[in-house]
Amino acid sequence: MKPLNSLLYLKNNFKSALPIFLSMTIGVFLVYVFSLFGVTTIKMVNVARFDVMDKYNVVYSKNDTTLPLSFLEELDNIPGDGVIAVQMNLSGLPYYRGGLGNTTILTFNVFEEDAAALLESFGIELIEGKLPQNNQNEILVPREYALQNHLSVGDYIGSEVSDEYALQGKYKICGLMRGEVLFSVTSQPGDETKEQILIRGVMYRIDYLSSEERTQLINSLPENVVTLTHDSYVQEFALTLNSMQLLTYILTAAIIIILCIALGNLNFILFAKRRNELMILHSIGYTKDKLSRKLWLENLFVCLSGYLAGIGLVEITVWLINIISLHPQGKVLELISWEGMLAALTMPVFVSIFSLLPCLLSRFKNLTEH
Amino acid sequence: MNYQLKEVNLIYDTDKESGAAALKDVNLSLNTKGLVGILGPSGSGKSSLLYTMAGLKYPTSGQVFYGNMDFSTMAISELASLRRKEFGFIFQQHFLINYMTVLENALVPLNLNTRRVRRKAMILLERLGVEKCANKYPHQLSGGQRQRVAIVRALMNDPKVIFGDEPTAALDHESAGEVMELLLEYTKNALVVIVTHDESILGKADTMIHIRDGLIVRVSQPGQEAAK
Repeated sequence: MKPLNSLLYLKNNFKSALPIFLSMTIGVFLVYVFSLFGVTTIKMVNVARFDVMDKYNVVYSKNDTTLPLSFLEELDNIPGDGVIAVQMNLSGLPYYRGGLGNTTILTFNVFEEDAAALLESFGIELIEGKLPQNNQNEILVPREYALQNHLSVGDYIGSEVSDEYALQGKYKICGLMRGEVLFSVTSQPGDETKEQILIRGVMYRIDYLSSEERTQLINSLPENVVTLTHDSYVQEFALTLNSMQLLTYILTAAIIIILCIALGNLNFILFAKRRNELMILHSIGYTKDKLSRKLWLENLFVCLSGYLAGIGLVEITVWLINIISLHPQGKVLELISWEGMLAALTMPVFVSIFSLLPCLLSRFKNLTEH
Repeated sequence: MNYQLKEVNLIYDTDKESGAAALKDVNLSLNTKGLVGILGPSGSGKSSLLYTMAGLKYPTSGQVFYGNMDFSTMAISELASLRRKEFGFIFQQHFLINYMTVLENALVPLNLNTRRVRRKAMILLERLGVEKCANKYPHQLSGGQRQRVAIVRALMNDPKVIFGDEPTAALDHESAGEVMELLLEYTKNALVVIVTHDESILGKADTMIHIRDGLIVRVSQPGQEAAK
């Protein structure tokens, strides 16, 4: 190793570098953990909304008016089980919790025979119990939802069971399902036939349609028709998700500023202790630029080490928390956030530069004063 | 002529009315080889002269020439490069880098760690009798040993000029004599400029520069005078 190699300094001055290393580790830990909560929240919204709407659009009239005939005729082009008669008249399950918040999950009221097709289209597996039967007040819920709310097959939910449910009546949990998306399914058509329901509410596969066809279909609907699409949910959640992202940036910036000030002072003290060393090196013929680069590289190595340690610490901690505490409760904290890693990476880069400024701007100019 | 100083003035705190003149109208010419002693009481400006010659201090006015190079026209990086390639420095205090081993300290001027430079460093350490300390850290050495290592460091780049700022001040009489013998040996190939207030170590100096209050009051050449 070359004598002026930054790693040689760090190898022989581990204790001096330790406070910077630990500060960076803690800073990165905070930012990255926060970003994981953010990612988990986004994932929750994805699985409960966006991922569902990436496959289906749901359209239903608010009152008893029927959907336009032209619209329904267009749906005839969608093959197989791609069109399902649905009633969106059941909502109000307790919240599904994840990350920094919680959300409700959609409940699709479909005919018994359509429930299987719905699950199959998402690759959802029925892991316990059975599908809901028509007009039996049965409901199929996701396993994670059941775990979070301490429910199992055979339990009842609804306003008659507890005030915490906005879901009117009393529903028996007939089965639990596991998949990449979250929603619940019930079959309460009442006395109506599928054709009668279909003209007032329908969910249809959009992966068979081109982007233009999807837009045309939605645009052909009158105003009193409710449309649940990916875009409609983007608008609904945009404010929340953007605020969360902004909060991550603010937190990162705040920690960067605090670390720059704290480590700037620390570096200043360390620099004062190394003044003789730098003076010698300058006398021998190393320019201030080269010495500045050496100091920065040392600082950068420590900060990057702290960054890696912080990320590693978060991964281990979150993995343990997931295994020990969250998974049994049907919850999960995401393990990877590339955006979070990138945001946290700005910390060692910025701090390694700006925490050196007090040194570079003050004592460094007097290196030749013996 | 190797070195030339023309009308060199060095004033500290030039922005203040009470600016202190460390060097006043210094004119000097030195050969490429030999031992040059700069003598004078404390605060007389002898270290300022040394560091001005080395390009570490910039004259307020006047010019310093090293060969054909005029320091006043050289960029900081060029001066630094010159110091690194052609100059060696020995300070009053050894100023070794405390977290590096003796061998690593010796390698600092070249910033290399090849087998060739390590061998060269070991030869120099051996010549100065500190080869067994190669893997020790400065705090494990005596004052004399540290100064020897500092000399090895100064010699590593085969300098054409060695600047010593009171290099024997921290040493006992015997060690001081040994260090001066080593430096004298080096004067066959290079110019050795020593600042000291101890005239006794400059018995074999080729040139003695006496300085007082920033003024060169006398330049003598003891060898030639003795020959006359």
